[in-house]
Amino acid sequence: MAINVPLLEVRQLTRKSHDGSLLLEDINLKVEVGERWVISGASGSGKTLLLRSLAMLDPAEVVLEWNGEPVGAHNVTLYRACVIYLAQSAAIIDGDVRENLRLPLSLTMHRDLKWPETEVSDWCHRFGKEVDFLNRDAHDLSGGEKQIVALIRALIICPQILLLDEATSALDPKSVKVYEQIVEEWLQEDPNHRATIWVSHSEDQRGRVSDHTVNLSAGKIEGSEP
Amino acid sequence: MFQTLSYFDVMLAASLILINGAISVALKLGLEKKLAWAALRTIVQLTLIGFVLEWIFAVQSWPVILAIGVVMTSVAAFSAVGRVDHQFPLMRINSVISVFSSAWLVTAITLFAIIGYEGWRDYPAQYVIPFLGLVLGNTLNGISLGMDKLGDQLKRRRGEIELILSLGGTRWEAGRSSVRNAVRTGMIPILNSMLVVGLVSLPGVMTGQLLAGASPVEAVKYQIVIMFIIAAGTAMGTISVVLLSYQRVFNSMHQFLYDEIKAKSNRRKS
Repeated sequence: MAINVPLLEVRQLTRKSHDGSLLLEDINLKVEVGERWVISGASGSGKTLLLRSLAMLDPAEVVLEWNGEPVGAHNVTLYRACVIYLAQSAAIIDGDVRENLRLPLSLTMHRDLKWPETEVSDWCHRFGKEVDFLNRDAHDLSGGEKQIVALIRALIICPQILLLDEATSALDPKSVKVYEQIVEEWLQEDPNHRATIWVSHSEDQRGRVSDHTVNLSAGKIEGSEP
Repeated sequence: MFQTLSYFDVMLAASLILINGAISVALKLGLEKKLAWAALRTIVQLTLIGFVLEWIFAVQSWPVILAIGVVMTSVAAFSAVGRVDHQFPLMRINSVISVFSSAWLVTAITLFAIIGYEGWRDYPAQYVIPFLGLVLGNTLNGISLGMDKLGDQLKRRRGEIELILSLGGTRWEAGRSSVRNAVRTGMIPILNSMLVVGLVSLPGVMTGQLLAGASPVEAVKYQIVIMFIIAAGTAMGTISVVLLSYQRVFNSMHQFLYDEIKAKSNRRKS
């Protein structure tokens, strides 16, 4: 990676709705390695849309560079394998928790990855979940437990950027702390290649997990700090 | 020898619909009007097609046969997607492409390779139109069922599809289980009928040949050919329309265009 190239650079991101009205307008963002960002703004200001657009999940007009490389059809799956979007209502597939966690390993992109048994049980244990958690039917999990599964599933594939969209909204305060700690440790493990972008309505949480803030209002950046 | 029917015989059969009418009145099903309309349409449509075929069989002209084939195929293609619950972009065009390519291909293979041109070149209309019609009728069903299932699956599995994409999966990895379920659903009716054919009922073509005095063994041979060409046509048509539709809702950026699948507006039926 060349020196001084941002990990992620977004230029002129614009998203329109079906009727042509602007949902996101001219968003520019530069995320350097090791940075911890938070996107703040009122409900409906476009935070989720912005995170989804950063994950390139929806069509949008944007110039997006990742490690200095433009992201396009040729490398978008690799990009998404490294820049992972974690939705507020964590998606699960049919089957037990283990099958859910192993889902990425079934994809061509991650076929060489090994199942990190020790790490998985360690993460589960830190959330107060014992071994039988892996055998539970994923449809029986609470919203918070699904969020835990989503985080572990993302960490298994060693991403570079986590896009956390209200990713702890259904967790109890103790689990929220554990969640934040695990994310922080993951970041500090390799701060020269990693970064986080959070969306959170909790002011306390924003203070804990970020050192850069983007304020979004009606789909536009109103200001950023520092 | 083949027993022809008088118009009185047909009227007698038509009066059987009164049984349905009586049931509808007795149980207050409110179907009398619909029954009368359906009976009328059966009579009018079949009578008209009888006259049309009478004329086509008399002229035996290729341009006329092809023109009728195009009309039949277009009607099948449009009605195949006319009643499905979810609208995909360019769904009608996809249906036309799929129905044309699958039905015409298997009909051509049947006529030129299986039966052989020598056997039917003097009476092309008698062969082309019934074979094409049989394939179309079944392909239409497969496409309807397949598209219904595809829309339902893609709508219901949005979370799972986007999850796979967000973990670095390709659009095919994200969409393949929906595609598979849709194709499977489209092929179920023909598979079922292949399993019970001859055991539960004698299929139409075979019945027709037996009534016309053909030997049962000859009639069976034709029926076997028919079952296989129908199965092939249905499979090809269903796979084609499902894959074309899949392509319309996943772009080259491996994004799922969920909003492009529109729920059909609830049209009230009189």
